[in-house]
Amino acid sequence: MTAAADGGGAIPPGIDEAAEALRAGRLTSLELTRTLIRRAEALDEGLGVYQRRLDESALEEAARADEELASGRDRGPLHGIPLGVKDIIATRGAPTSAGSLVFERERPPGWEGGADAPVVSRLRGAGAVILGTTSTMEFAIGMPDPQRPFPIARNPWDTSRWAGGSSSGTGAGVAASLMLGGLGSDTGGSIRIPAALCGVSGLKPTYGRVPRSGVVPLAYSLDTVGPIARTARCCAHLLQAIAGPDGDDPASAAEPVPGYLPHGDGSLDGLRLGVDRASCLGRPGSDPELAARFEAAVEELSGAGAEIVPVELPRYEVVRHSGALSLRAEASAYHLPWLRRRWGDYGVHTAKVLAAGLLLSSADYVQAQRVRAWARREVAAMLGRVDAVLTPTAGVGAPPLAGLDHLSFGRLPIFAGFWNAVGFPAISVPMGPGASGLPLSLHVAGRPFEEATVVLVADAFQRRTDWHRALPPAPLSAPGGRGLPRAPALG
Amino acid sequence: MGEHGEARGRVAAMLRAAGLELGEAEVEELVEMYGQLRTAADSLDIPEARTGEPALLYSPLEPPPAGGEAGA
Repeated sequence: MTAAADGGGAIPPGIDEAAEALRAGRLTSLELTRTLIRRAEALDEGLGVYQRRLDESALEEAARADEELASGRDRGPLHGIPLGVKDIIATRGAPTSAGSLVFERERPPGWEGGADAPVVSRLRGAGAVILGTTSTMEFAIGMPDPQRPFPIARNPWDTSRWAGGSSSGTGAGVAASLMLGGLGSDTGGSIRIPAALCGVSGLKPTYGRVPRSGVVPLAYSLDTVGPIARTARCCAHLLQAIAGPDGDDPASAAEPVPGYLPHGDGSLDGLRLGVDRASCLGRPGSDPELAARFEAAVEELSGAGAEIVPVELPRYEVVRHSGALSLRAEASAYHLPWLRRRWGDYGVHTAKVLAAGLLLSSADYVQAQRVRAWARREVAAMLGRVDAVLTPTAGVGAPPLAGLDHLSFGRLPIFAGFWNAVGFPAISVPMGPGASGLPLSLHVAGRPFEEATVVLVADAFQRRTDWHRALPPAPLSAPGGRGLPRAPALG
Repeated sequence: MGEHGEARGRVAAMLRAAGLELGEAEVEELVEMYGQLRTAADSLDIPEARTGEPALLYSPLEPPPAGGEAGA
């Protein structure tokens, strides 16, 4: 699979392929970066992926990466790889907007683009080229709002549809082959939802695994930062670079960072995978193909050697609510001073969602934390019996942008937030199209700090399927690329 | 006062207490959201969690860092 004629050169499908081509001399980082910049020039007006492009510094970084490789200095798999960074993460050269006039009109100290967040400096240290900052839902909680002067990422599979959120630009950018990967944040599903709706892979790490310092907070007890990329392996490369302790993040975990890249032949022999059908299948409004797609994915993992065990997540709805209410309360606490002074600088959806958090009582908030403590124990016990839990990521493909607001979004069957409430790691990978022809995705969640297991399972699935290779239809795919494969007949 | 009027009064009072003075239409939308929030919040009262401690961790030994928001 190769993308991109618009940019003039071939774009390797993933980080492994690019890294190999760079070292074999078939490609330079400078050529690749130039190609991606030209592709962005050709396509991004219609896609809304970038908040701010950093063409000049990206070209300099790419040239430097090439020089280092030529002189024998090899920083590893991300050396010379062009990436995007969600625009709530401090990035040198790109003042942080968080998709909001609150920051654009009166930028708080520290968000002027003078320094990198630790996750970005870790990527640069690993040799990555930062292409720019990517569009986000306002403060990672708003909804698409054409009245505001910020790009709205469109879904590369159908640009009348939403790319998902809130890490919308990174998801759409990877799907449209404008970058080989990038960073998002996930507080209630904001990495996995855009990954799922755009048909790419996205990994939410364990809470505390990746530093959040230098990242605009949404909800202190839920926020995580993680990768979106074409494949689970690509996500593993990115996670490897950004994971690890950070003294400026009070939630940062001291757990040692293991290797995340799966080795071996994709066998899942000896692994027990829990499958929760009761919590997620058969929801109103779900895609008619969802159950068949999900069962086909489970069958693939069984074929890879995993033992499949039916499970049911404990009190699914209650736990989901405990995370969602925690999110609202904590986000309101962060934003209240600005809500009081600058209500009109917020988008209409964002302001209302944040104000709604003020309608919860302190007792509600504490009760949510009690439920989360209980749920953490229960889910940990379940994950003592199985190695990972499988569900769909969402019950539907990308919804139309027209008419999308916080109420209609709240009605979508999306199954990511449960795992934020307990803080465990999870990955979303494409599992084929729904009846609408838009991507549906498989969700694999695992034990705390065992990201390697969810990557292993997702990688085994991607070794046996081609859904992650599918590219959006022309003009976004190029000669050599192809649209979403036709769905095989499902019984 | 009907159920809606009661909810409206509560929402307006909570917003005022938080220091927000919003227009009629905005308050009305929040009243609708309040009903959903209240249902979700009330659902958290489960027997399993009734005697549990919340998932909040404080170390008495060492204050956490201030929380470096912007780039270190």
